Amino acid sequence: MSHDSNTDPLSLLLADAIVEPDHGPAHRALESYLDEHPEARLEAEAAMATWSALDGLDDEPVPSEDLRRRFDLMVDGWQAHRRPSLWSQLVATLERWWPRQPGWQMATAGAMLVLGLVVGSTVLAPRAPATDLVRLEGEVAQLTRLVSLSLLDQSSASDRLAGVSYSRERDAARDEAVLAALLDTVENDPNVNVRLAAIDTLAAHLDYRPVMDGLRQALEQPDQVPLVQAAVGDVLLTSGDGTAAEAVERLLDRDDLEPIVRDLLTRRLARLSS
Amino acid sequence: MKKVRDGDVDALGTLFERHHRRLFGFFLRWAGDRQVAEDLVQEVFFRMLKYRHTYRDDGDFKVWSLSLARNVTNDRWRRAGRVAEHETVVDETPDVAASAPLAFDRMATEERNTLLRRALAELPDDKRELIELARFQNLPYTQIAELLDTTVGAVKVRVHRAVKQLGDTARRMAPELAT
Repeated sequence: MSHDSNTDPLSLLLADAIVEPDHGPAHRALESYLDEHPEARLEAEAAMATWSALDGLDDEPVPSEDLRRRFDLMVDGWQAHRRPSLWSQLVATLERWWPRQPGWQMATAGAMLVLGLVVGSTVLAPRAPATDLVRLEGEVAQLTRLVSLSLLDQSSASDRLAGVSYSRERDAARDEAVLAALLDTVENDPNVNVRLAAIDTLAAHLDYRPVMDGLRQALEQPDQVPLVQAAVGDVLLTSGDGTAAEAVERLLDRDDLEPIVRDLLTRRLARLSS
Repeated sequence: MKKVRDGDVDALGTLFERHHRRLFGFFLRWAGDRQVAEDLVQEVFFRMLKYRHTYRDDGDFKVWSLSLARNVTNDRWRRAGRVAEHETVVDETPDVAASAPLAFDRMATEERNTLLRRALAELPDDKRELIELARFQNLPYTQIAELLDTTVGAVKVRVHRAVKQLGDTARRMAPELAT
C-alpha cells in the first residue's frame, strides 16, 4: 500500500533528502524513519532513484546567437518607443504648471490676461520702436527652427515626419540649417515616407541653389529608392531649370533604372517639352 | 534589476547574459521546441521592462523572473486554447510493486534521458513545473513556496508526489526496467 502523502512524514523527509548531498542530516533523518517504517523503504528508494536519474538532463541547453541580437533589437525598440516626443514634453510641462484648484486656475487665467494686455499695450504702443517686434519675430523663428531640427533628429519615423510637417507649416524651411536637415533626410532617412515628405517640402524652395544641388545629388545616388527617384525627378522637372532636366536625362540613361520610374519621368519630360 | 527599474534600461543586458540560458532551459523543457523557447525568453525580458516597477527592493531576481516566465507559459496556453491540467487528487498505481525503484543504471545514458524526457512530458503541468523549479532551476523550497503562494510543507509534499508520478510513468513506459 502506498503512503498517504498528505499525512505521512515520508514526503517531508524525502523532499529534504533529495535536494541535499548524500550523508547529510536530512538523509540521516530519512534513514532513521525508514528503519522504523521498513514498508516505506521501497517507495523512498524509487523516488531517490528517479531524482538521481534526472542528473542526465542537467546540461543547460544553449540558445542560438540570434537570441542576443533579437534582445538588443527589442531593447532599442523599447527605448525609442519610450522616449517622449518634444510635443508631449511640452504638454507635460504645461500640465505640471497648471494649478489643480479651480480658484487658482481662475487666478492664473486672470494673471495671464493681464500679462497679455500689458505685453500687447507695450508692443503696440506708438512710441515702441519696431525693434521689439523684430526681436519677438526673431525669437519665434529661432524656436521654430529648434523644434524643426529636434524633431527631424528623432529616432521615431513618425516624429521625423512630424518634423517635416512642422517645418513646412511654420515656414521654417526658409532657414538654412532646416533646409540642410531636410536635404539630409531626403538622402539618408531610413523611412521612405519621411523622405517623400521632405522632398515635398523642399519643392517650395527650388529657387535656393543648395536645395536644387542637393536634390540633384539625391537623384543621382547609385542605390536610390525608385519612389524617391520618381519624386525628386518630378520636382526637379517642375523647376524649369536646365541643369535639373539634364540630371533627369542622365538618370534615364542608366540601365539599372526601374521601368516604372523611367516611364513616369519620360512622360513628364515629353509633356514639358511639348 | 533595481537599476533597470530606476531607468537604466541598458543594465538589462547584464541580466540577459546571466540568466537567459536558465530561462531558455525552462522554456525548452516546457515546450520542447527551441524556436518557441527563444521566443518565450524574449517575451520574459520584454515583460521585465514592461513590469519593471513591480520588482521589489527585497525581491529575489531569480524568483521574480520565474514568476514572469510562469505567466508567459500560462498566457501561451490560454492563447492556444489549452486548459492547464491540475493535480490529480488520487495518485495512480498505488501498489508497492509499482513503486519499486527503476533500474536506471541498466540503461544507456541517452536511452535513459529519452525515457525521462518522455515521462516528464506526460506529467500534468503542475507536477512538471515542480520538478523544473526544484530540480533544474535549483530553487529552494522556501522560494518555490513564495512563487506558488503556498507553504513550504505543501511544496515538499507536492514534490514527492511529482517525483513518484514521474517514476511510475517511466516504469509504465519501460516495464522491463522494474526491479
